[in-house]
Amino acid sequence: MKLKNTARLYATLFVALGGSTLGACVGVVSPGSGISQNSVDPNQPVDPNQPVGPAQPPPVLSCSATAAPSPFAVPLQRINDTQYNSIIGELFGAGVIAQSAFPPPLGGYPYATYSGANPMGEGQTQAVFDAAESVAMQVADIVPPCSSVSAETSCATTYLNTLATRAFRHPATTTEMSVIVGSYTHARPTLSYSESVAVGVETILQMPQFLYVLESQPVTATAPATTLTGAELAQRMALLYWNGLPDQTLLDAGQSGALADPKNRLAQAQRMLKDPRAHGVLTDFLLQWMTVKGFHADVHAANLQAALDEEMRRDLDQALAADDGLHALITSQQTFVNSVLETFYGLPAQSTGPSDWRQVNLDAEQRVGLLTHPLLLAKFAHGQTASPILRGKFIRMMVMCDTIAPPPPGALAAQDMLTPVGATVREQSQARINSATCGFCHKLMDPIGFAFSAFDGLGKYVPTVGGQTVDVSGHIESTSDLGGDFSGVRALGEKLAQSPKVQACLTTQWMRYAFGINETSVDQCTVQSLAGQFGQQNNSLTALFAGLSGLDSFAQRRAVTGGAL
Amino acid sequence: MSFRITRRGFLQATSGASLAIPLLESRMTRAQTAAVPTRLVIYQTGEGNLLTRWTPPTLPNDGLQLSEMLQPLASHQKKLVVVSGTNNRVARMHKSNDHTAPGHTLMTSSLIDTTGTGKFDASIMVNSGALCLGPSIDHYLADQLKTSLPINLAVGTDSPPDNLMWYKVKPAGSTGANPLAPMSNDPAKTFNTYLAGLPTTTTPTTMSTRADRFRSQRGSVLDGVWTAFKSLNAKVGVTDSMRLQAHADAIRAIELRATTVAPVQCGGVTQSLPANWKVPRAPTFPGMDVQANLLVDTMVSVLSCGANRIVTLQDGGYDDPKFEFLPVGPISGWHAQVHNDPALGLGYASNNDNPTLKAGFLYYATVFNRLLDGMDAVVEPNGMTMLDNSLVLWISEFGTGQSHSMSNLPVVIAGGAQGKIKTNRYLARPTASLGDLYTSILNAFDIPATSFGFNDVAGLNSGSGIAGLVG
Repeated sequence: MKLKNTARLYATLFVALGGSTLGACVGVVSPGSGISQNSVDPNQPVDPNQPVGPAQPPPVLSCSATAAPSPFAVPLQRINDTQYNSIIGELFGAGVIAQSAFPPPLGGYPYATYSGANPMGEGQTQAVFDAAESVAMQVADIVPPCSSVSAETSCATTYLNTLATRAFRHPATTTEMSVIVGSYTHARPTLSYSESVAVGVETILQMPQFLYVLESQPVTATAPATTLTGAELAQRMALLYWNGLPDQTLLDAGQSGALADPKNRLAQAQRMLKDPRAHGVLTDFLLQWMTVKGFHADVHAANLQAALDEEMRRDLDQALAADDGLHALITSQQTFVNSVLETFYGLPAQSTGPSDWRQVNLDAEQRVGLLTHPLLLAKFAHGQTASPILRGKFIRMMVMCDTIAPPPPGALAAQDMLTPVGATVREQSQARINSATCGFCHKLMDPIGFAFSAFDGLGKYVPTVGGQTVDVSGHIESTSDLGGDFSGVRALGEKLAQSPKVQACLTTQWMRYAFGINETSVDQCTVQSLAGQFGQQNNSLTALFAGLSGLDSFAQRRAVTGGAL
Repeated sequence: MSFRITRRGFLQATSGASLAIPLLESRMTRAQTAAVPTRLVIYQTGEGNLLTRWTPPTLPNDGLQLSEMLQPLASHQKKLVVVSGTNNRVARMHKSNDHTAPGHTLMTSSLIDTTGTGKFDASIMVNSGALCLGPSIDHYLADQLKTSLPINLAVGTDSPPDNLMWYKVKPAGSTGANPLAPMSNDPAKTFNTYLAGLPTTTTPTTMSTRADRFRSQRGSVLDGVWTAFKSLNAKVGVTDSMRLQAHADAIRAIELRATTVAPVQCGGVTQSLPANWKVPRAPTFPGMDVQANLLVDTMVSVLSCGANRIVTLQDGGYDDPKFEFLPVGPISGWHAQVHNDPALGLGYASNNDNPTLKAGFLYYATVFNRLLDGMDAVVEPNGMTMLDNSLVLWISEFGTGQSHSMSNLPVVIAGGAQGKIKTNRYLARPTASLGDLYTSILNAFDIPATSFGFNDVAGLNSGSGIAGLVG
């Protein structure tokens, strides 16, 4: 029988394939760099459970001395949930409540801003529809009345035009208005005037001009980049810094053409960053960079989790306000404690309760900025057991921007074969590093993770065990300025905070977040240019965030090539 | 990626609106009592799934976050329970072909009678013609509920009268089992058997509340929005255009659900088949998509009109369906691709990298979603939707088709069986068995079972179903 034979054949083939993929550890070496680059499409999600694909040459990411900074190839972005809610508030006031419009972004992307993380399938479309209808039913109560029945169409058109122009971040076109007014006209015979206008609003809130960040398109092979209009620049900046609509000042600067000048954009960006609306975006970026956004450690009790969240928020505020933000972020000894954290950190009880916060300096080895924040440390642990691999991998991938491929299938089982029962964590690691299959990647991760050995899986500082000082010596395998031995997280943090490589990495991360794209070799000159400014301005985070708008390439858009599944 | 199984496309394909709209707008259970029966609906697909992309992340408190492969079901997330870990251990004792053992035992969790005595012989080597000892879950439940035989429908298979690939229960007169329901792959025949000739009634519309009035404008709003997408789509680049196209397709897809008015009567149900359309035949089963849609819509009508309360749909297209209607189609060698056959030269390290497989398995999810859409659009006398009043199971005979693994079947349960099952959850249950799954389903129908199927060997049934699924 056909099936039977076919099945046997495949059973055999499967075993053969399984055997070969087991040997396919991690990554491809960039010649001479000592850094791994995996071969996957950088704009595709990273699936840690997925076996490594066939090896291909790594992308060459460099900026030649003669190349000029290049604009970004930004794929069509959809506004996110935060932006949706804040824009609804701006358009209709606090009396109109938007139910959440979008399901949470998909995981597996470096940042939730990536367009792939925000698909518009049926579920998302249904959610937007539900939200639009719910908002519109509320708006029906606040539509201004029209003076006479004969003027109704004119009243409705004026109201909807003004609203659409704000909502779309560009003057509503005739084509767009015909769709919107069409909904109104269809409704009017059966619905009241105000309800019919609200049906027009419901249409606006589902139109692509509202939901997507539309930008100039005429991109051809001969003109690969296009310059954004003033309105488009205002839109980019308002969504980037405020998660909302441009204010009148920004609209005027767009209208007058002032935003075409990088100096004016920089000044606007600096103004916008001082506005409280910027706070949410910057905090969101830093939390996503640290990979702890929304992270709740099962090992932490609820009151501890709440205290750590608040401490993190306060630490981030501190770093955002600091002149040397990067330093504060990854080296500061200062933090904030309430009664719960006093107990957790082993401090004398001075706080009167969970809402009584005070600023403290922890031990220099205990608190090295966010690097030793307990949320971060608990994230990179398996339950209560700390993981030097995950801790090292975080530093390597998120702070140094090197790439490490996911573990091959069977990696966990392989560990059991490498070391005898009872081997210490360092012995296990050494066996991995010595292994031909595993060593290539693990030498890049484990020795960095060992600097964190004085912290347990909950993120508690335990510098001595059984009277013995814990060994916190570490090593960074790198040909960059970061390469070499060091001891303890403070030494690691200081090293990182001074490194141009880390400045460039944070710059890269900010650009990934801001545009929802992975950098390509074309973007490298832009990264380097902005990273240079960041370093020259004492690693000020504000300089980094605002500096992006001051780049020539910010005002342009490059063709997006290729498609994705 | 979304597929062009949109309302507009569907209506074009079926050459007229007489199928979908009157049918959905005018449904109601025949019985006019507030007590509504719980229904069992089963959708089976072949070759497992891409488990890495299918399995949801584990969240605290059994929280559910839909995985990539389950995204087509996103609008029904609150009515879903996703279960991983279900193990078909019986199939391993059934030493026949690698496909028939999992298939024949999937619905029965039973072994084979080759002794002619009605008793299982553990030493047997079964060949593929043998019958399972013990009924399938749908037949067993019908027997327990004292209702008529279930309705068994099939798509993408050529020999449905045999009811053979997926389960093979004992026919009439055999010991220990009810008569065997016939299986049909013909939408017209099914429709005529169960639905033709029902009396026509009209659907009154009410506009008494603001919600009703806004509901009456949904079609107009969505049409306008769709027009806006269409005009914009011409102005953007290829990649962006694909994104907008997918969104526009989704608008068309939700339009049917959004504009459906809750039915008040069952009747006036009509069906029309596309011109020149024929029941798909082997080897490539062209038109499987239309067949599936027609059968799904018929199932919803059958259930809502009270013609039966147990219906199954088996997608038998596990071998070489061409999926010519998908953007990735026509597919060459679906079965071989599932096995990542090196002879095809695909170059994928794993099935997870194969976009064709992803598209195929996502297609199955859209069919399941159509079923849920239809069931959720029917409001019943108890104020709940028919989906809420049902237990809808989607299952496959394999976890991973590539290795013929039966140890982790992809299980999705929709509807709460009238509150018997708490939904919007993901249950990771690595020790669950197929018998446990069906035990829990029986319990959801208030049948006090502690096991299902073959239970003579330890480990086949936990004694209490799947932990935490029911209750």
